[in-house]
Amino acid sequence: MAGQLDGVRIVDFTLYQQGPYATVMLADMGAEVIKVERRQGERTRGRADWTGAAFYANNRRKHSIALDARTPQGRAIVLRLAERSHALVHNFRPGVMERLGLGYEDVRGANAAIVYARASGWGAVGPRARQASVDLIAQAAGGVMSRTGFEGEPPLPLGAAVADQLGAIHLCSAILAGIVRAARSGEGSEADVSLFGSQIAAQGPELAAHAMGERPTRRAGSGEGLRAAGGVSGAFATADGWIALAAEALALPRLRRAVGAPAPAEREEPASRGAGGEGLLAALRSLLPRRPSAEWLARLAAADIAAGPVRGYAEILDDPRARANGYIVEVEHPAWGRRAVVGSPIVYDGAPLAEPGLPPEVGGSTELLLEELGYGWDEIAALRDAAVI
Amino acid sequence: MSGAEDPAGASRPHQRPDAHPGPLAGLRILELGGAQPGAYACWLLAELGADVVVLALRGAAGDAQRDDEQPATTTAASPSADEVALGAGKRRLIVDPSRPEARAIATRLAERCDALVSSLPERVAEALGIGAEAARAATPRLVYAQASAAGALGRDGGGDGGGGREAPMADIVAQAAGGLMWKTGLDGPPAAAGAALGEHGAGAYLAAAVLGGLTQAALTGRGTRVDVSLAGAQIALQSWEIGAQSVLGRDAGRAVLGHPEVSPSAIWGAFEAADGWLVLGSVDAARFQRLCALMGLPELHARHPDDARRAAGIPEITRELSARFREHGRDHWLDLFAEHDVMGARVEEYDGVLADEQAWANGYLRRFEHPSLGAITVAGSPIQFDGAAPDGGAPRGGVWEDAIAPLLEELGYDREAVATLRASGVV
Repeated sequence: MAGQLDGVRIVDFTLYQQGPYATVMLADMGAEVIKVERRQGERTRGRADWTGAAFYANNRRKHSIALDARTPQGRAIVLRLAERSHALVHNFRPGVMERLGLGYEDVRGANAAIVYARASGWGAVGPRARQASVDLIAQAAGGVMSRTGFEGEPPLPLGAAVADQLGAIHLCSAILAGIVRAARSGEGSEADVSLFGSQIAAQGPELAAHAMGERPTRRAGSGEGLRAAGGVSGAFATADGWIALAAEALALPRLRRAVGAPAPAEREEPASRGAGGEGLLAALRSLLPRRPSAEWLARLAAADIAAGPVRGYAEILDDPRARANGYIVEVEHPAWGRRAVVGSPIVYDGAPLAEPGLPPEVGGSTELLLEELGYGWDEIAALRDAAVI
Repeated sequence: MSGAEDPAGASRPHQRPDAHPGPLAGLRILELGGAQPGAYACWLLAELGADVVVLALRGAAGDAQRDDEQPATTTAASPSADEVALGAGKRRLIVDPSRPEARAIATRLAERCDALVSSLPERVAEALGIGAEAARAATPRLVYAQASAAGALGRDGGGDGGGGREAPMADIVAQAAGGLMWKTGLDGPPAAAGAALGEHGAGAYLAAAVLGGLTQAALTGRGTRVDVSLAGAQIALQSWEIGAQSVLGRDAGRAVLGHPEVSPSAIWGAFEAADGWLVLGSVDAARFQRLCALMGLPELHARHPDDARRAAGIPEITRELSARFREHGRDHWLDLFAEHDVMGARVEEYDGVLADEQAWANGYLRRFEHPSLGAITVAGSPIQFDGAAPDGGAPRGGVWEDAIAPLLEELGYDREAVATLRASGVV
């Protein structure tokens, strides 16, 4: 069936994760994403280590045009492509695209309605605007690391490159918002979306709480240090694993009954903000190891308390519900064979993403696109002889 | 100043006062319930210029708030941090869902919206007459977005503890079931992310999903239904790492002080300096040479001069760097690194983040005068358009005269009817 973004074309200069994952999201929605690559292809292509897995996840469903954008002919191709596209996205430092003659003003000259989006580390302005950044830097500078971990132990990075992903998701939103504006008004726009800003945005309520003087008494730990809205939340060991549960203030009596914890002597105090809730946390820590996870989860579900197991990736890859929703999908990969991979978390019209697709061959669509852009066969041959494509 | 039908939305009375209205100016979003993850998604849409109306239900019930019998009063003297942070730029209309008039308000509102975003169980919207089927039939170009704990499909299966019923949404449960807690940490208990990224991550995906639908509507006039869940968002936030375990057929273990996949063969992790923690990221061949020179460890580079030997020597390199880092404070090291393009950063506490000049310069933080709290700092949009951060503005919710009454008038209620709705406790 048709995707949401049928007929939308994106020119994609991005490398690594933030930019490329943003355009994977657009491709999953049905956009035609054209990856502009150097003629040798992106560096991590085809590697057998984790970089190959990352390349797959961040480039599936795309098309590729391979060219040397430093040549006048290469630049001309990009501008012609931009003329027929809705957005151009890159993640170079300030000045790089301008030096190629592909800055916003250049591209806008070819297409006044284009959305020109940049994935950045730190934002368009400010003292660190020209510095490079990566996921871990953003996690550290944005504050989440300082809140992650256990008291008396080091601050912890998150278990995955979540800062890159959050930067990517917001970049995807920026591109789409720009396309919406262009469709409604004919006006193009320039957008910058940073890893750092995305980290701050994604902790908006926590930062506001801090600014309002709400001070957590400890790091997040297994969840017991998170803001729990007057209730309790955290992960607890059971007889055969770990489960997580959360209950707001008024649900605490139901939680106590479900786990067989004694009633509190006085009014329940928020677990994460004072000593009063420590009693309930201590009760959960002593009671839950007495029975297996499945038994607790059944009891908690019956009491309408949000709860679930602490799972590893192997369980997630096999989870039928994740598969039913297209969160996990299978792909037939030329090198790996049939493998489960991560699909789209977004389900349109009740039809989950069925086919995650493959990354393109380097320059796999070069000739087709050039033809569409009006280049004749001799021109294409000449571009090839001149090592432009 | 208000009232007339205005499909283009050009003269809405609540139009944002700032000069840069954002790319979604003229679009209206109905946020049903005010709970996560819709609250985050609609905050971002408001930051991008959309007119967001929160329809809150008195005495009822979101999944996350089903035990909260307190009517959320928008004129409360002490709003929660979530309301302050995510209420920016939104108007909030509280109705009594048990009254038939509430149904009329909800349907009139939905008909005047470009998107409806619900974080409440579907039956709540259905009871208000704005379930997906009814609302989309009434407004074919509507983007109808529904959030859930574990996904709209396959409710009878799955190892998420839902057991076939619609499970309540909770951040920590999503973080646990989605694998992030198991991957975060040294070797002890599973560790939670230090912020509600289960909810906010889903909110970010939800915003993108709504925008995908709005793009289609803008280009073709067709609406859509879209589903996003906390579980799906957690999985997608770890897209390549989960895929790596699958395609490479091995478990990379936990992140420890870096990243499970990256750190074993690269300099990518946290180090303790004399006065606190910092991180180093993406130290390639050229940066490694500079790093060793800056830290007075040229022989370390000499022993690991190329990619292969550096990758193989990570444990030894980490030991030597760790020892040397402790000899000076963080500023000493990071100033040196910044001058020589070696990527490093302080592990910043929230006080430091809130004071960060880089964040203020880009509008990632901003300060406004809250009616009851006074001057308050909140996060702004991570998205800058045309060189200016769009400014969602201060929360305006619930200030009766300047927000709610005009809204009801736009829905076709005259002044007298508005007064009656208010006096009889419907709104």
